Amino acid sequence: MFKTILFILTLISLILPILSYKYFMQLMMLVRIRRGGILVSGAVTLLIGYIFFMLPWIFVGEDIVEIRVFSYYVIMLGLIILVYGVMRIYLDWRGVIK
Amino acid sequence: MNILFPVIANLLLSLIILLISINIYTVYRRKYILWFVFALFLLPVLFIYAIFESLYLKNIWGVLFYPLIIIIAEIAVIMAQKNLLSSLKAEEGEEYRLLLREDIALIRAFGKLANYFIGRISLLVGIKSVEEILDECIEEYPILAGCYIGVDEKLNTEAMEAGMGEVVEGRMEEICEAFSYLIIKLIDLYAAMVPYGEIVDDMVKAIGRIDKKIARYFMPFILFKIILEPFLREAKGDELRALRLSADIKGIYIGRKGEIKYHWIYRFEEEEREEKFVELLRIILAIFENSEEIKKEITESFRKLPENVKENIYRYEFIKKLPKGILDEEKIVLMSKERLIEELIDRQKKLEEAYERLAEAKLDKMKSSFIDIIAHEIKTPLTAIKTYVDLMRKEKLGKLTKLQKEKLEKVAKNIEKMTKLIDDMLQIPTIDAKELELRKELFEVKDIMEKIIDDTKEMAREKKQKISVDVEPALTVFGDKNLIEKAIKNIVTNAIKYTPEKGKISIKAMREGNYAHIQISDTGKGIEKSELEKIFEPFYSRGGGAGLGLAIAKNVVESHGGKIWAESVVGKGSTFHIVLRRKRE
Repeated sequence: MFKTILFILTLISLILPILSYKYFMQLMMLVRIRRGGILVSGAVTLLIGYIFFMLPWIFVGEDIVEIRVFSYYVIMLGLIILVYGVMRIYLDWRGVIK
Repeated sequence: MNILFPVIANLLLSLIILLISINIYTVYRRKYILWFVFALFLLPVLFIYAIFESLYLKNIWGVLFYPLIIIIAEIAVIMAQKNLLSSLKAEEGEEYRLLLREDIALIRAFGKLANYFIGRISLLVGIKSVEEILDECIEEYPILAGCYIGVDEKLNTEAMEAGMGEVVEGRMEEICEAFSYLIIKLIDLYAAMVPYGEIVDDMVKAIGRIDKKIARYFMPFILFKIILEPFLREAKGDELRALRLSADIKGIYIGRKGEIKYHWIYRFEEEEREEKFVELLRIILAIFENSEEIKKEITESFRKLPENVKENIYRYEFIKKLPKGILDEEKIVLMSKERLIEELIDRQKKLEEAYERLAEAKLDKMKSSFIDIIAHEIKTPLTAIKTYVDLMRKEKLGKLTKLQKEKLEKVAKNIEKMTKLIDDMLQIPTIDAKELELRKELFEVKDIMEKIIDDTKEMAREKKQKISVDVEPALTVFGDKNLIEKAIKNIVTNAIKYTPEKGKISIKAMREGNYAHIQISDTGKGIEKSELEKIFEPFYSRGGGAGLGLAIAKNVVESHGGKIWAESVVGKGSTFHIVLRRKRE
């Protein structure tokens, strides 16, 4: 029961980024966010970390500490990329936005 | 394995991202950013929960919290994207102006301008002829491929926008040329049915809606179609013929009815485009015999332009090129503005320089008074100590043992050293001051030499040195007597100091034209060549002492417009030369 619910929720959380990517591509055709690539790579890394985090729970049904720590480090990498991207966007916009 | 470290690090990183995005939102309050902020807010929540879960919560169902939060965050991101997308498509709000790509904005602006005429033309002759024009334009300019007349009888550019790919330099000019070709054709068709004067009014209205950031790309359209073409359309047959013959300007073509085809002009640089306009304007004015009325009308046409495009036109670099009689008032205003800016910059520079000088002078003064106060504060108690030590040495305060006498001698010597050091300190302002306050007078060199010898003979006698003085009779110097005496005395004292026992010091002073040349030579150990320049620098000392004497001498001599230098042969001795003006100028 637990595994089924977890599987369905994880599946939804993995389908939604596909939808988000579709919107992102539409946006990139209209707008000029130069750091778009950085944001995407940050978000993809986060997603990979999240998948690793969920894998033991879905397939084994319990936590594996080594994989959890590994996923945290992958997520950390994604967050570092995002910090850089958000910071650059903030610096780019600072002079323009009123 | 330590789980807490990466979780806490992730928590901190997510908080940083959240803070930056909140910062962006506070400045640029848009709904889509708020959705992003909400999504980012869920990240730290997730990590706080992870800490809580790994420490306390052991229930397996607690894991469901993670995908749930992730789903909510993803929905928030999608909402933000949808919100931004709909706002960009509807061309609403600031994000449209700020974020929309320049090429997309340009296509849309040209699309709107074209639609302005298509709407009117289709009412008069139906949409078929417009479709034919568009097909012809696409054939000529493939970049327009994707543009089509929709069921609403309007030009649709969405497919062209989608095919634009990345923003490429030079693409903007290509878009401008293609669309200008289309618009020229539409205007020509419209002008066949409606008086051109009315079309100009329509064009001014249409151009008023263009976004400021891309208005510069419409400059040729404004200059040729709105400003010049009305005059050509009204010109007489022979005038137009003359104009068509004489106006052979690359990128511009004048038709039989006076229509201007300017779309090739986008192949030239922006400055060149302006120059070509000015050239054509001059030719037109020449054909119309420089009629003041035409100049007035052109000026009026410029003044009627909407504000969003005026910024691009009312630039000093462009306006100044226009012939006399056109926009003269604006030229004066812009010129005085330019001059005013130049003057302001100049004044600011002068003020900054004056402020720097003032600050420097203040600092100099503060430094001098600080040294003065400190030196005097030390000197006063030192004098009292010296008096009592002298009294004790002379046994006026009671008998002394041999040991006490010896020790008191040492104290006296050290007091003397300190007194000398304080005297040197008091001279520091004399080195630093850029322009010494000189009390100039005419005096005989012999007078100061006598005083110097009198002051230094005791010192020389102690070292069994011989001082010879040879001063030309009635040799005078015009300057500050006290300072010059101080300068020469410093050199003589140095000579005595660095000359071994039984050595010789000779002082000579002679006339050399309008100058007095003073030489102080010694038979000391000499100075290395590499040191000759350095010895005049403040605090440069070869032996004991503060190293101020020669620096002071140099400053004093140079303040009088004189010269000082040294020559030396190591092992044989040194000669210092001072040259000073003999008389008042």
